[in-house]
Amino acid sequence: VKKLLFIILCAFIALSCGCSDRVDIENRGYILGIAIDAYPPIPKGLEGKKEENEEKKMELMPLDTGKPMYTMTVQMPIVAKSSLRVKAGTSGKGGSDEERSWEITLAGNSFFEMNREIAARTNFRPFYEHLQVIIISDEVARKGLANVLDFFIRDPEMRRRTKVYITKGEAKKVLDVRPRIEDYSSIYLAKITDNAVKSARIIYKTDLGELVKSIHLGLDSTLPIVEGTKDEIKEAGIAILKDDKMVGSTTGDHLESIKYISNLHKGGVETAKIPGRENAIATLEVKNVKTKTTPKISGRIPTFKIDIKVRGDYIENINIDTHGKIDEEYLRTMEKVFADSIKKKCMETIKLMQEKFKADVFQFEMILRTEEPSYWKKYKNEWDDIFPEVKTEVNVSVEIQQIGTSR
Amino acid sequence: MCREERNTMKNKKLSPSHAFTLTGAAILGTRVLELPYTAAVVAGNDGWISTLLAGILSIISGLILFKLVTLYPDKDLPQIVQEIGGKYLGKVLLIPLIVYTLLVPGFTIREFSGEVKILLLDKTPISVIMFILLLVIVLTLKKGITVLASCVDIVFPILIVVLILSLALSSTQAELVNIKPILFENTGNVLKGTLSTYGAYTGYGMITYVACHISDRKNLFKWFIAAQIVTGILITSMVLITLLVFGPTEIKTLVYPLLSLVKAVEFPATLFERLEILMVFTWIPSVFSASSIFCFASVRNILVLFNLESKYVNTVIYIHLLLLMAIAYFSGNVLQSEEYSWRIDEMALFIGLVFLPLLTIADIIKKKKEAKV
Repeated sequence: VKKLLFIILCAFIALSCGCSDRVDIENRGYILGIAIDAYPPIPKGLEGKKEENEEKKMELMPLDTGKPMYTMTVQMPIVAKSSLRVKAGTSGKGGSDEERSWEITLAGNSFFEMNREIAARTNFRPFYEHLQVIIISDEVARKGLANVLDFFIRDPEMRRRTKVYITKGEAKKVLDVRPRIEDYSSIYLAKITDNAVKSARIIYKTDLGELVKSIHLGLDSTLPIVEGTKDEIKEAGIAILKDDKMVGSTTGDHLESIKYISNLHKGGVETAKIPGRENAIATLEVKNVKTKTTPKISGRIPTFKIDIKVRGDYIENINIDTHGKIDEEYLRTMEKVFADSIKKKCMETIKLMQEKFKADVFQFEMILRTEEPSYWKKYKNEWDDIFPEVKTEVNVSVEIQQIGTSR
Repeated sequence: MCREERNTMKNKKLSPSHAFTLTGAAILGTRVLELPYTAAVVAGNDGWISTLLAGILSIISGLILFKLVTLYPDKDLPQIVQEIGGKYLGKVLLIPLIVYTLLVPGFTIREFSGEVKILLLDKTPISVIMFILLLVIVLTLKKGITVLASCVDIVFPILIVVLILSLALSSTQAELVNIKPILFENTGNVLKGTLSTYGAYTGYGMITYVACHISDRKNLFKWFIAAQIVTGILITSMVLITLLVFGPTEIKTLVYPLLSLVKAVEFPATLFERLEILMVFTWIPSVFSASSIFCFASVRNILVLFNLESKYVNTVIYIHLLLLMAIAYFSGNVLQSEEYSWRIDEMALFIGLVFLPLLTIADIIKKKKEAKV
């Protein structure tokens, strides 16, 4: 009897757990990127063609919740056609013209429902653990991101470090980009963010977790705007978010200033015109930035003292011959030139955010919450009205550390 | 191990260092995964201070309990309670201990099985996950405290290493702004939080069940206190880093903050992309260890309550399988389970801060009176 019980028990364990959850790696439909558009988008290359209608039929599903509001496009890699696989095969060519990914679009109101419906169009099981990017069209972002992101933050397969981008126009187009080196546009786009240490015009923190945290805290924030061509993606400015809604956009140079003010600058380049020299330009490679923002409270309108300390290397000059002539005095002059340039840009950006967008993207609110809790307790409900009137005092100091290999 | 020893579940074959591993595992394996949530809900950004204070409070309770253990070097807690309380009152006093030592593993297994289902085995029925975990616990208990202690010896150091690794990697996302302002108009909540998070430390009480199995008692106290200090530091660090990464507002929106923390790790090495899987794989044996220790305590409580002979040990162990399955089922969905967990924490407060200290004091007074006579 004991043996029989033991056999039954083993069979029970083997049949009911572990193995039943097994999915072979080749049967998983790895979703690398998701594009979210307002309904309806026009499928890639099918604009005005007969196939468009056929594709459209595939995108629609019967809904219990009225007309669809969104479309969700997922990018699945065709692993057999990845450049690595082709190289390992007989041809030795990595640059096959064949499609390396499959973009499937579904229209609906619930993202989970669309996700499940995608499973009806592919023989692979959609698997989101390796999701790299979520691209959202500005039309959707202007209506609010909280609803759109709920599924992505709630589903256990999703990761908080998935990167989120906004695009002007159709988000699906960005997924359609065929990168020259990478196989998949999603991975290409996700890796661009890693270059934030090289260019201050790229947002360093753009992940789902940070975005949702800002929304839950009621903070204004920014997201990168991306543009796609046939084979290239570019970070082209930032979307300004007030609560969870996009209220506008601005260029990458304002992002630089936001990063200076918010102590998020990871490195980049600073160029400035040299006064007294026609068309002369000097370039500083910014290596390290430390910003300290101190609130001063006197009445309802606070003043923020923003001290920015920049360290970097003098890396280039144009239209000025400095070879063999760089001395301490020149460096001190250039430090002041760069400091003035940074200060001017920061002041302009603060003004823009206060007057045009009325969005506290510098998150001064967090400084008040943490450093001046008594003030915050009293005025937190009025912050939206107070922010445009906030006074700032920007002090920038630049220290040139190296001058490259040429004096 | 002789059959008699196994059946009575008492054999003095443990070394003092087992006080460290068994107590440490009992503390870390239960009620810890949801602790950042409890701390954030009650004490907000100061939740880590509450957790630290709760740790200190648990050390004080531990010292009182250790005094009780030293007064009865050859007895475990149910026997001590029986001795102090007498034939009838002693049995009544055992009831809260029985309820607590049964509820803790039951809820721990239910909660953890839910996490395993969400993260790893989404198609496996939760009852199967719970049953298998309980089955391993039952089989280990049948083998006695020595086997249980040996299993814990293997599991506990791995858990410590993985926990430290997870916290270190997660700390790269930490932002000081998330725990500021410190103690601003929040002292009352911090104190409330201290009581609410105290429940996470009650594994220290397991010393009263294992101390009598330790032959060399010279270094027992050092190992016991070391376990409390090490786990206290780890648990406080865990709550602190979770708060530093997410902040209290965000933690309140998370069902499993610690797992979300590990999932949020962003590290250049792709190896760490699925760190949460490593964490879950480590936590499974950890929950097994802690639940086994609590079950061991529960079995001892029931044996003493009903004055059962050693031949009934296995029967009591099998009954535990059914009882714990019933408790795990009863705990309902994640929100209901959480509600019950708060009640269990209140029970832990009563046992740890009222019941056992009073018992110790009563015994000391009783002994002094006896000495005078």
